[in-house]
Amino acid sequence: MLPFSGTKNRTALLKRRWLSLLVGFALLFGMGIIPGSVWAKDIKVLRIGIGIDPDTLLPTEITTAIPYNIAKLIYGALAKYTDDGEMVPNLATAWSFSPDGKTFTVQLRKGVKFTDGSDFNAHSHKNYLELIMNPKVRVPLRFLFGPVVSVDIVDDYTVRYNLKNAYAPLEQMLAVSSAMSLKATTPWDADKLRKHHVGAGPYKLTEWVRGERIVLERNENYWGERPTVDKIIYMIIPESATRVAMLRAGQLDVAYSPSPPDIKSLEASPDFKVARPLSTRMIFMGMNTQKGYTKDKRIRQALNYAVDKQAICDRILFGVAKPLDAPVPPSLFGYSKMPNQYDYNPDKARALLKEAGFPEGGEIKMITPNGRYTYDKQIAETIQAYLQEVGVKTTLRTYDWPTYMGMTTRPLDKTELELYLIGWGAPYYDADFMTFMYFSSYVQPPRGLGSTFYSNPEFDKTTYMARSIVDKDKRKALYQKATQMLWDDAPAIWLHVEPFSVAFASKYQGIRVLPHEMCFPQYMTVK
Amino acid sequence: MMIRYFFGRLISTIPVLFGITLFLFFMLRALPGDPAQVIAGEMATEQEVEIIRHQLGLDQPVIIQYQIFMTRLIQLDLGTSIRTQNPVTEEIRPRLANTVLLALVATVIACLLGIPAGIIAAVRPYTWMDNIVTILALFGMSMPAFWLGLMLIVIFSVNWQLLPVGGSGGIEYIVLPAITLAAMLIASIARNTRSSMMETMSQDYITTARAKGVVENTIIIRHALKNSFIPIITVIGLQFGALLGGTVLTETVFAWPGMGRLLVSSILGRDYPMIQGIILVFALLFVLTNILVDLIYVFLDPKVRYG
Repeated sequence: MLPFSGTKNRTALLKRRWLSLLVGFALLFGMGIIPGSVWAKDIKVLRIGIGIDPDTLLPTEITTAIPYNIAKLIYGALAKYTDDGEMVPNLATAWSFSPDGKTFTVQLRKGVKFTDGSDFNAHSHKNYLELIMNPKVRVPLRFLFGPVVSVDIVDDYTVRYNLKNAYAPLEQMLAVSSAMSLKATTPWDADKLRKHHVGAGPYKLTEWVRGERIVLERNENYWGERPTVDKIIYMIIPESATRVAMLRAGQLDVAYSPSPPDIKSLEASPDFKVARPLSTRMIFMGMNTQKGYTKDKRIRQALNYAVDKQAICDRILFGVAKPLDAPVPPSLFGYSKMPNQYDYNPDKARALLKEAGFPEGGEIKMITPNGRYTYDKQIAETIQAYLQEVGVKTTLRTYDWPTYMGMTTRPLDKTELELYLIGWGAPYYDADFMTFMYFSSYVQPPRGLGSTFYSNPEFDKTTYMARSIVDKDKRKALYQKATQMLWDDAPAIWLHVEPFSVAFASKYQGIRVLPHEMCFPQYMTVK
Repeated sequence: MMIRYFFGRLISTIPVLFGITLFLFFMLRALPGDPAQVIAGEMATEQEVEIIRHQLGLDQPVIIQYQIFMTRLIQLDLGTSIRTQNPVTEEIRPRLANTVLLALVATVIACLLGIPAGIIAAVRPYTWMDNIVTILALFGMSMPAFWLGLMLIVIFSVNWQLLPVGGSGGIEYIVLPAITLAAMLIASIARNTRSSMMETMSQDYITTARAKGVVENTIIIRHALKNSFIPIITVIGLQFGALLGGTVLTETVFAWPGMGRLLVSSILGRDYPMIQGIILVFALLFVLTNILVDLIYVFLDPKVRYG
């Protein structure tokens, strides 16, 4: 019932109504209650194609990217990354090292509940860390937490890690850490937890048909911004060509890891897009620095000059990869471009080989996995051809992955490695993972995976220092020094950085694809 | 008599299966590759791998492991998957049905296409029709299942949008995988039907029937075909093993949730109990199929009697 009457006043009233509606909208926009694009709609069901069926989704047991990706949506993370690789608060709201780096204090978010109703707080987080340090619990990536000795509870929402010695990468571990319910993990029963996941993430696991699909549904009690996707179905499709075909046929909305030629043809179509940031994984041909011809630095450098890495990226990988210009992928903290590059120069390679006395008809053994990395076998074959060009004969053998892993983890006296193709990807954005954790003397097999047996005391000292101090600028300077040493000593043929690629139908927006091989779809909308 | 025969055959397969498990058990563990390392991933330290190895009981002497395995097997317990920690039987059961279904549908399709093709070739030998059948048979046997599967996907799913690409669901999901799997079987069936029919058609009683004035079609179907069935059924039984092997590739291409795919991922993960379980089931299926074939002989040929 209108308090006014008459046409003139009606118009004024209508105008006022439109005005107030407009103001109301503006306010709502400003407060972020209505998402940025009003024309974007929520998604009821999002079908994502992945290549492997996770063995487990328990955060403590996970070792590879896809299970880790899915577990993050169920369990949540302490910190998360922006598109530029910066760490921002998530379940942890603030954190800092003590000046000597031996304690690390973390503030936790208040008011977060797990799906079993228990609270996320200092007690649950301390419990989680103690599970990780407990040798009875299976935690293959325990070493990532480094020298953490104990965890103290400062107050209900603050914990303090006590370290044996300073360890800068621990900060990045906040993005790797998950949240697990104290109630659900006491007592620890891995079998029970594998069947019933309790997390604080944006989604709940509602169905897992082994070998077929994993279904996640929105967690209505999620503490953070409400996801715009109601239900996510991860469909397990081992063959990448099949995933792409399903995307094209409309059976999938998103497909992980299309092959390089598929990336190109999908991008050429207006119906599809491919998000493909350069990943934190670098591909290189490791060389045994202690045995055989590759013991000589000149020969190792020669092999670097002998291979045209740009051609490999352009011709074999269809231009989706980028040659390495440093022994660390560009997305990592501590990366700096090397002043001198190993440009393709077969003449220089021949000269170095001659100088080093590489014999006529000398042979080097090369091994490669098959299907582990994008076109690994083809890349190895190409390298074999390049080396042949400069007079280095190689015998190339392929092995399946478990056999290959066994061969690369043998200690120095038992190893038969000379040249081996490998990819090494960091789960967090710190050069420590690529330098100290692969090339220092501390990680030579059987202690670790440094199968090049590169042994440079100056390099060891520099990288050890770089992980033991907290000052970011000082660390960067140390990594600049260390990576230049590494690049120059060439314990590997430095090849390229692979992209992490995810293809999706163009009608979708809001997908987040990150270099550490993560894809977060929870805020996707459809046009 | 028949029941006795059936059970007799069944019991005699037990030593066969026993031999398979023995061979498989020790051969798997002699292969390079370490399941504990696969689970630990490429980044774990040797220490972690040792912990996992101990947790899984893989650091015990092989003989002890075999003892444990056989004790469980007698109670029809196939053990626990190293990778998922679920019982092997639980992992296999849903997939077994899917693979058997796929194999059966492929066999039916192969018969529906292969037998008529063989009949045509036999009835018009050395003509263009015969040649076409022979060439198509050769084509079918030589085409790699992987390629054929992807071609079918491109044509029927992506371009014409007639059938789904992969996965499972209603009847439309089984069509392309079954056709791909049937390809090699069609060829064998067609060729065997052809040669068997040609041999039968040259028999005296066929000439007698013609002389009697029986319609040619009746001769072909009622007299010749029925008597030619034995070699055809034999071929199906023998090829069933190859068919089961073919499921491995076909299931991978079409994301069909069967045992073949599971076998591949188990081998890549060195999941010994799973590999053993799946191969045992495959062996059992093969044996059962051949027993079935033998039993069918009784219906086809009144002269065959067991017992």
